[in-house]
Amino acid sequence: MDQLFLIIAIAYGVIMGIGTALAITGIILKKSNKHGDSKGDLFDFNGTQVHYIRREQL
Amino acid sequence: MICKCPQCDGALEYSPVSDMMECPFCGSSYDMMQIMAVQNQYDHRNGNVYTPYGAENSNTNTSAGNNSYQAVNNNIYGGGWESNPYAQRMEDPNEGLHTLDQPDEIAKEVEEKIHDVAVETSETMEGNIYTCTSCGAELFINGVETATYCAYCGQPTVVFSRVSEELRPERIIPFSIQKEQAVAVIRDKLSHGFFVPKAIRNFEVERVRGIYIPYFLFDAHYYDYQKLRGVVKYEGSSRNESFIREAECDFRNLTCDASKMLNDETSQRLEPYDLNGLRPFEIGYLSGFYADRYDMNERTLKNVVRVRCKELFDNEMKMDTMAENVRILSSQPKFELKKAQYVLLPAWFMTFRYKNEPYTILVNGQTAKVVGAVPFAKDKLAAVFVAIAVVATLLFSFLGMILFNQYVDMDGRLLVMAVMGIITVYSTGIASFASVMKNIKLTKAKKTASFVKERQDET
Repeated sequence: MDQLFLIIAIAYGVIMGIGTALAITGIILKKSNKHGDSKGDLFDFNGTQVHYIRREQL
Repeated sequence: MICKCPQCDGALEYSPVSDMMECPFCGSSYDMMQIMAVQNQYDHRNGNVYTPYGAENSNTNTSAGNNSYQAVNNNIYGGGWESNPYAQRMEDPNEGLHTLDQPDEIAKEVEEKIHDVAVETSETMEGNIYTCTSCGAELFINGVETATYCAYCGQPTVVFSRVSEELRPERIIPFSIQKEQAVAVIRDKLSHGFFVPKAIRNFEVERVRGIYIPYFLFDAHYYDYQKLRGVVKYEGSSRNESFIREAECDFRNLTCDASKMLNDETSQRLEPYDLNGLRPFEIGYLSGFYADRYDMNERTLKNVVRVRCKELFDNEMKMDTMAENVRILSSQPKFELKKAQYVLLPAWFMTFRYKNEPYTILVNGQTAKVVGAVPFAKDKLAAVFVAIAVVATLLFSFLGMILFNQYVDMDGRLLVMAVMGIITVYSTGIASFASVMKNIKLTKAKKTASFVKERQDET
């Protein structure tokens, strides 16, 4: 039984270890590569107002 | 056409810093309006018609008795015909050809020359051949370009025939970011990248080009009556609710790039441009930069504009419901395109090669926004990945042994937590990598690379 727990714990550790490494390196890579990630917001400079005719909640 | 310095005859270039036409050779600077006024005066006197040879010839004839006027015009226009045989003959008073007694012969010669050029063009390749007004060299320019550097003498040349009345942009945002500033912004971005390869950090400055991108500014009206459904959270509980939204919107100056060579995703990322900076188009703004003529007209772009309006409109409707996971169940959109305006907007393009793959980073020529991603050093990434994986595996194995031993009779909550942890780390990692890969793919976009390469090869 103890051996089974040990195996489960190590398997969990390996899965989480790889996952954590994937997440951390991914985040670092994304931050270091964040060049113009987002599309420009058209409303930043050229404001366009939406005129509502009806707003209903059913 | 080439704008020449009245002081030293060098080619004038538009300076984003001083907002003047500057001579890189003698340091003189001139107001744009001043230079353009002389050009307009010249155009007016010559019937406002540009031909590669003919216009200058007629100018020589008409201005024979006005030396000062001719001197100014020569500074602006003169370089080209000084070096072509027709102009030299016209300029030499001893040959008698500068008088008006043989206009038909001159016109015939000019027409023949133009015809020769036209035939040569149609037979060899699709495109146009133009004459450098500075050194007389003939250039091949691809079908969408309106200005380029001369491949032989390196002078910035503006080709009038590509900026004819029907193609002439209505307005332009001139460059406000200098080449040096664009380089500094890119260097700054690259220096902060932990995984950026060293080879890329020291990129060649010569690979930076200022290009005016053709855009259409659209005014459009959008109306829709929508039924929506979303999840509303209230005091800890959530329920599905339905909404009705009826609204209309007048979109003004909706930007849409009109170049097939540049993909829409890239050009949209370059935005926003502050359209308050738009000015009436003057040919002088193109001096020292490249420009592309639009190859997608307003009819072709109508559907693109409609999709963009719909996207923006729908987002606004969804946000207005204040609900989550909002879906549009039905809609009755009405779209009307009201006005289209052809403009040129500035961008700096920096291209580099890494492992035989071309990459392009763009900088908004007005706001200095950087668009594009750079490849990463795979060996460095692998080393960091392995190091983190080893440490994390040890930690989580240790944690697992403690927890699983303590909760032998676990009721399933621990299992759920463990699975949730796994899902969280993997989804975070995959999402981050996917975002980076998408960016890199965009930067590697062959269209963008070829868009710039054609211009870089010419210098």
